[in-house]
Amino acid sequence: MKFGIFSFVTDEGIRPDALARSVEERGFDALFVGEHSHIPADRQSPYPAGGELPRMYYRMYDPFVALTAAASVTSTLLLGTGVALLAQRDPIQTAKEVASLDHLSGGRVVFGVGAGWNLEEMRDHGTDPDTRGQLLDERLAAMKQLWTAEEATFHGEFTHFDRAVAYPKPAQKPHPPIYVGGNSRHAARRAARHGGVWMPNSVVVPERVAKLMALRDEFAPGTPVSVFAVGSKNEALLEAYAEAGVERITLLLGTRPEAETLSRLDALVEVVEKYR
Amino acid sequence: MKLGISTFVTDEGIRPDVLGEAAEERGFDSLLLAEHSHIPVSRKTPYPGGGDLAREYYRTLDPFVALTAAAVNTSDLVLGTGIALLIQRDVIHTAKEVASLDLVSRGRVALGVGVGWNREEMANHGTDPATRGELIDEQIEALKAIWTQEQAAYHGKHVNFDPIFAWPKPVQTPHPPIYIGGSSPAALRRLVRHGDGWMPIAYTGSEEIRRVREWLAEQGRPDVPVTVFGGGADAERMKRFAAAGVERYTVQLPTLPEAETLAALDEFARVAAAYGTAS
Repeated sequence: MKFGIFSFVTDEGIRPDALARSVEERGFDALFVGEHSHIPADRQSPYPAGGELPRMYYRMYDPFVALTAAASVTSTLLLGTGVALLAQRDPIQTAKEVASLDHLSGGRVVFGVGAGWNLEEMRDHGTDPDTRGQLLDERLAAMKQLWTAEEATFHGEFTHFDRAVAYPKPAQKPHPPIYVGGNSRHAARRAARHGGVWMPNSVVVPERVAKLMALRDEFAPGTPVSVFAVGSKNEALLEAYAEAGVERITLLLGTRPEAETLSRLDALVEVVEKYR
Repeated sequence: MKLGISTFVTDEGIRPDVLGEAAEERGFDSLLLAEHSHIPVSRKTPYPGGGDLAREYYRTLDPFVALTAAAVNTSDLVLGTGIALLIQRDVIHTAKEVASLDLVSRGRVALGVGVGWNREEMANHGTDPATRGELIDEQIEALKAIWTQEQAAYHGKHVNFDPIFAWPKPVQTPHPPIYIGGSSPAALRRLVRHGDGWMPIAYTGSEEIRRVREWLAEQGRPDVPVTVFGGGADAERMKRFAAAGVERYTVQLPTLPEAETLAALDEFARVAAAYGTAS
């Protein structure tokens, strides 16, 4: 079982290059960074975790800028979006960003995507919330074309282009792995459909792990699970994930200045030590 | 006059991190990168440079990814787009990319923007070529609002959003300079209204640049800094552009593997030294 780190990289916390170096040095295999392009002031969509939207949601770096900085000072660390909101992103630009980072990092990108929950945010990018699942599927399919075909053509309901020449191609063949975030059956199905990995958010109590795995078995049989944003305090929960055979536990690391981040990472190393 | 490098960074040439370091070591002040998101095969728009489109147009790395790589191991190098095709980009995403790069680089971004020429390329991003001038004007205003306001809103014909929160803000205040590319009458009118700087290609010529600067002064913009994109490695030409009031001249670096690139940069540095001695 692998252990990764997920954090929101903002202007108020450790810099992304320093963070990545520290994460790699401590033996974690992957760094995932979140994405929100902005937060509409008149947001109606409730924060899925409940309560006030935490401060870091308003302040994240662009994920590809953050991950490129992270790539520059590391050599084996996987560089993940957790998740990129592809339903509100241009697929041609995003395909190029992923391919460029994959090229520069020597094939270390993990492309995590999600349908998103903030309806006002996606509307500001011209995305109709009602059809965002279909849009996400189309854009993933379109990006695979751009990543693999010499001349990429795609015609869906929302996405159209003819014979587009787009290089660089990603270093990973046929393309970087696709991780699908979200805890619904749709997310699990989507992960299976795209031949990727399902990356649900962590459950809170160990008793729920079996239910999560049952959802995988029903809607995405055989699809690996990389469980996301796991709290480190509940040892029984980590045990339950280990028992269930998840591929990776990605631990949540709060957004803090550098010194505090490093000591928290040290504490996380102690938590995962027994599984190594 | 400052001297920089302009180029296309692709998967077939030197890496951008190595290039950034090499350019800074040799005393160049800036690295400007061109952008094309893709090239449609059925391209009907003629290449403005004439003839076939060069191979590097099909293979450029995303400019903000490449410039971030160049930022990490440099400390003074100005990191610029020359130019970013803003009209086929999402303005909220672009605001965040620029602000993030400005943070990573501690305030070294120069954003060159233009309306592009490849109509089929922009159409694949949903951009109507006919109204792209209006679009970029609104986008530039929206970028500045997002970078500088606690709650930015914009309501134009093409760009529309109610108040939004968007951090990080750029390091540079009030924001990274926006250079307007191109030398058409429309580009020059845009420069007067919205530009912090002008980024003509070297082909525009030193005489035209001198004339435009006089015109800018008449329009009440006497101090617009001029960065020339894609110049030749020629000390005499550099002197002519310097005499025309150009602030920065960038030498066009062909896209080549690392060893050839370093040799070319060495040669450019010799030309720069010859220019420096003469001026």
